[in-house]
Amino acid sequence: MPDNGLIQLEDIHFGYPQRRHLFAGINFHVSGGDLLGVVGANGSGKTTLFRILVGLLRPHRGMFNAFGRAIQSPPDYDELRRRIGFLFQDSEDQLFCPTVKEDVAFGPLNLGKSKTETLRIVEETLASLGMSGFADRISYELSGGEKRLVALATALAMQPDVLLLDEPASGLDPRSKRDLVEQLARIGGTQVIASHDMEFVRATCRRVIVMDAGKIVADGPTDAVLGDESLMLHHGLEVPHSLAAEGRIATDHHHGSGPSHGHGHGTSHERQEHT
Amino acid sequence: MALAEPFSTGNSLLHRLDPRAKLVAAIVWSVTLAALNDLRVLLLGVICAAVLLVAARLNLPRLLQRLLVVNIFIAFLWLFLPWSTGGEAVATWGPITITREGLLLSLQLTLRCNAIVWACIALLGTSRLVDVAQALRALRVPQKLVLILFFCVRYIQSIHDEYGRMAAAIKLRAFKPRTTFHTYRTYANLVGLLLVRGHDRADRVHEAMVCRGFDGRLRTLDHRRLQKRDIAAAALLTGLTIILVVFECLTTG
Repeated sequence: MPDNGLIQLEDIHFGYPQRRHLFAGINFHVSGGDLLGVVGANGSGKTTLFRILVGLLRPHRGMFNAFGRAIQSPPDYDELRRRIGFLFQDSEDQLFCPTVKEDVAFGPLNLGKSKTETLRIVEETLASLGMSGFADRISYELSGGEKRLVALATALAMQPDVLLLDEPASGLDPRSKRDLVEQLARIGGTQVIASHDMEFVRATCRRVIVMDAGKIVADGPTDAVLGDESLMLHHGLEVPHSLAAEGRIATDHHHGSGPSHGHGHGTSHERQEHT
Repeated sequence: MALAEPFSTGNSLLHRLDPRAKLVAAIVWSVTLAALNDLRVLLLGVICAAVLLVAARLNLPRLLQRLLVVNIFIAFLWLFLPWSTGGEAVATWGPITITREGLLLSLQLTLRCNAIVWACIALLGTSRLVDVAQALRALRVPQKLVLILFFCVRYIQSIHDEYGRMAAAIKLRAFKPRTTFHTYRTYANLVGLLLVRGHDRADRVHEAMVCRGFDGRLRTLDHRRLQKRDIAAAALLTGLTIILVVFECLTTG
């Protein structure tokens, strides 16, 4: 476990009534400054992992540490949500106020900031995303890309230590996607991004984990993980076209400095099986 | 068109008044008008409401569109009440007898509804939904009710969009509504799915709010203070309502 670990999940168990053992002892960590991509096929547990990280779901068992303390009681979860900004898959869920300004102000006001301070935060946050002129725009009349950026602004206005972004690129046109990549690069800090869009993950993350059926099956530098063709194909994913174009696809399975496989259970076996 | 708040922006006196003052005036006005019966007094009420609408300087085509919707419902009353209310006959067509009492009742309801709706559009329509919600909270309406109202209006368009997508999906699969069990079942499924999706969305919105520190209280940037102008306006409208009541008492002896 790294010393500067911001978030650590150890031996986490979680399930739904219809899928009782989705996570059966998952381990996960995020370090300060990580730009971490979480990839996996549908139903692999990415969103559930995020919902646990932000305290919307409580693990049935296991240890959850964040920001140097164990997360157990409701006040711990409140503090957790204050320090982790979460961008939802559907921006429409996140924008419920009449105007952009009020949507962005919602979080700071709930944190007890004064009106003046909140307005300053709103202005600064919107300006940092290049959306200064959007303050009085009506949230539901924005385009998909604009909505996504405003939703991001609502999370950033909480001044979080970690940003969780669940499918931030879904439904965006190429230009909006490029804008988002630029903004995320500029924001920096610690970001965890779940996405099916491998190009987006490659453009935004330095480290990637692959999830499959509630397990973390690979963890390593972005290009090493995403460029492992057999790993990607075996877990229902595909190698980004840009990596293929650069000829940086690894087809053998014995990487010296490549991704570490088998965080979890029986993954080595799985890997042998598919090789 | 998304969430319809077409009259909430503007620069008229009514737009500038505090939503709490307008809300109090609208409640007093609506409750009183609902209890008045004299046609002359109700007509006076309609005139007062029309003055409010003029003062609000609303977009006329959109206003007429909205009033049309209200009056379509009232038109149904005119279809049924004149012959289904007992009283002195004024005209007879075959088995149908139009009564004086039926006509008067229809007229009374028309005037009453329009006086209330016109005033509410002028008073409440000129505030944003979130401000009306805040005003309701200020009047000690339970927070849960206020939030239910707020989110109903906020997400009604999303639910309508959802319905549109599902309706298009069933149409694309050659569905034609008929008086058959299959049609009833299809519509029942559609409504059921709409409820489930609405519930899911409600969950997600709540989670999004919780993630941003929501603790059950709706806070906004707009913290107005009641000014003399607001109190005067509320008093004026309440006074007007009292005058109507006095007229009613005088005319009915």
